[in-house]
Amino acid sequence: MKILGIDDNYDIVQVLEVTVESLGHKFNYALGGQEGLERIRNEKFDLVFLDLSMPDFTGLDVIDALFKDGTMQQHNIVLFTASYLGMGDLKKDLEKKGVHSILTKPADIDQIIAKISEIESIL
Amino acid sequence: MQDDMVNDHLAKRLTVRITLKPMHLTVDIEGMIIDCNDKYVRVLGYTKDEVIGTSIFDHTPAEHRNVIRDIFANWKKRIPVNNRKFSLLTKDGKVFEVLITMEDVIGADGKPVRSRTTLLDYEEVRQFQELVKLSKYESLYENSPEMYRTVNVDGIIVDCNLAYEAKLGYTKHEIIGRNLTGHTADRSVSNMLINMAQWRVSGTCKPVELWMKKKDNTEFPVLISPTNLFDENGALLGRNVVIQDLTKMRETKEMLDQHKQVDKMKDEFLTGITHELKTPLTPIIGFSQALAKPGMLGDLNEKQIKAVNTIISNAAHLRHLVTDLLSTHKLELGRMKFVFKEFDIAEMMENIKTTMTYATDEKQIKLNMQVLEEGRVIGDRSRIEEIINNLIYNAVDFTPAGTGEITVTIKRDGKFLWFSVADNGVGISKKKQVKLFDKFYQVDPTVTRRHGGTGLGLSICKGLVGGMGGTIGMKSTEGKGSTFYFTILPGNHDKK
Repeated sequence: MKILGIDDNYDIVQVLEVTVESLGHKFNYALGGQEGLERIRNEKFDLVFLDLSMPDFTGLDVIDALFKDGTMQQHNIVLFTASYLGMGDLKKDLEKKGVHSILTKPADIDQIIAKISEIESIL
Repeated sequence: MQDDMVNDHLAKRLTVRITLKPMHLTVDIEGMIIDCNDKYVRVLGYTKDEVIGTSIFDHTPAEHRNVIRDIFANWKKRIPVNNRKFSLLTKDGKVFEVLITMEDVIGADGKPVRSRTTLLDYEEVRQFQELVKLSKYESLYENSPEMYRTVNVDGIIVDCNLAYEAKLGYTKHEIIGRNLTGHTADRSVSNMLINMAQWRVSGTCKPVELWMKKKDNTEFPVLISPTNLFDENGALLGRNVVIQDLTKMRETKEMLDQHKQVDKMKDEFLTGITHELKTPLTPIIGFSQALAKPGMLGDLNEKQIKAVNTIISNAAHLRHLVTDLLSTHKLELGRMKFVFKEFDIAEMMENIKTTMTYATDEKQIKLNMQVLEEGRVIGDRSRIEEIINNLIYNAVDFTPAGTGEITVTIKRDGKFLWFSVADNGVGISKKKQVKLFDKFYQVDPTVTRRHGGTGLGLSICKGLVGGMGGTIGMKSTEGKGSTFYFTILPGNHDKK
C-alpha cells in the first residue's frame, strides 16, 4: 500500500512512518495542508492520515477542496486528530463529505495497525 | 411661566374641600314648607321666617314647575323618590339644580302626611365625585413606587410623582415646567425627540428603553411606557409616562453575560489545553509502544523493556487523565452529548464481559454476568458500558487476586433499568463512602492501580448517570466487599 501522512507535527509523522514501514507499506508525508492537498491531487494513495488542526491550511480545508473537486470518493481519508469532535454536526458533516473514519490522538500503535489493515481489506 | 405652572398645580391640589352638606325640608302633602335647615335658607337667600309656610313650588322656576309637580304626584302614589333632579330658584333669581330624596311621615290613617326631604346641590355632588375620583388616582400616581411623569404635547413636564422627585434628586418645583430633555441623558436625547415627534404625528406612544439623567448628572437606564391624555373633545393633551428603572435588571443581565463569557473562555481553554496535551502524547505513546513491539524498532534487553513499559503505563495514565478532565468539564457545563439508540441488553452485557475479561483474568478474578432483564431498549449503550467498565476496573483494583469475584447485574426496576457491580473485596469505610463521588477523591491513593485511577472516574459516572435520567449509589461493608449500583431511564430523553 501507498500511504500518505499529513500533519504539521514531524514527531507524529515519524510514528506513522515507523508503523507503516514495519508493515511493509510505502510511506510519504506532507507537513502542511496545502502541500498535502497537492500530493493527493497528483498521486494516488491507498490511505491518507489527515490531521485537522494545522496552521494556514487545515485538514478541513483539504477535505473541502477535495469535496469541491468531487474526488473525495477516490480517497480513503482517515482523520488523525486530537480535536474533540464529539457526536456533533461537524462529525456528521465530515462523514457526509466522504471521510472514511476518525482515529483519535493519542492512539495506540495497535489502533494504527488495525486501521491500516482495515483499509487494506477493502482495497 | 414656570412659577405660574407650579402655582396652578399646587392650587389644584389644595382646592375646595366640599363636605356635601345637604339641605333639609319638611313639607306637607301639598308642598308647604313646615320646617327647613340653615343651609336651605342660606343657599336660597331667605330668612327662615320667610320660608316657613310658603310652598316649595314657589322656590322653583315657573318653567320647571311641572317637574316638581310630577315628583309630588309620584310621592303621593307612594312611588319612591330618590335623587330626582329639579331646579330651585334663589331669592335673587338664580336657578340651580338639586337632587331630591323624599322620606314619608305616615299619618294615623296609614297615608303619608308629610315628607322629610333631602336636597343636594347637584353641582356640589358633581364636584365632589370628581374630587374623589381625582384623589383616588392622584394617590396612586403620587405614591407609586414607580416613577410617573406627565408631559404636554411639547414635552413640558406638567406633573410628576414622589418617586420621580426622589430618583432624579430634584424638587417638584425644579421639575415642573422643564422640558423632559433636561432629564434625558445626552446619549438618549435624539431617541427621545424622535419618539416624541412620532407620537405627535401618529398619536400612538410605544414603550422605549433609554437613559435618564439625574440632577447630579449620573445616568441610569429606564423603560418608559406612555399612555395618552385627551381633553373632553378628544384632543391630545399630553401623556402620562410610567418610568421603570432598569439599573438592577441591566446589572443582572451584565453579570449573566459575564458568567456566560467566563464559561465560554473556560470551555475554550479546556478544549484547547486538552488538544495541546494530546498532541505530544501521540509520539510518546506511539514510540514507546513501537519500542516495546518485538521486531518493530529492534530488540530490547530486559531492563530496557521494563523502562519502556513504565513509560507506556504512565503515558496511558496521562491520556486517561486528559480524557477524564474533558469529560468532567463537559458534564459540568451540560455539554456532554448522549446518543440514544435502540440496543439489545444481553448483547451489551456479553460485550462488557468480553472487553473486561482481560482485566479480571489478569488477577484471576471471576467475572459473573447476571442478566435479569432482556430485550431491546433505547439508551446510550456506549455510555452505559463506560460506566459499568469503570465500576469493574475499580472493583478489580480493590479485590484480592485469586479469590476475588465480581458480579454485574442488570434488572428492571419500574420504568428504570437497574445495574449493579458487586465485589468481595476490601470494602470502603463509612467515612470514605461520603466523599466517594467527589472529584479527585481517591479511597486509597497508594493502592497499585493497574488501570490508572484519575480520581475522576466515579464523579464522571455520576454525571453520566444523571445525564441519562438516573441515580448512582453504593453500599459497602469493610472487609466484605462493595456494591455500586445505578439506574438509567430508558427511552428518548435527549439531554444536551
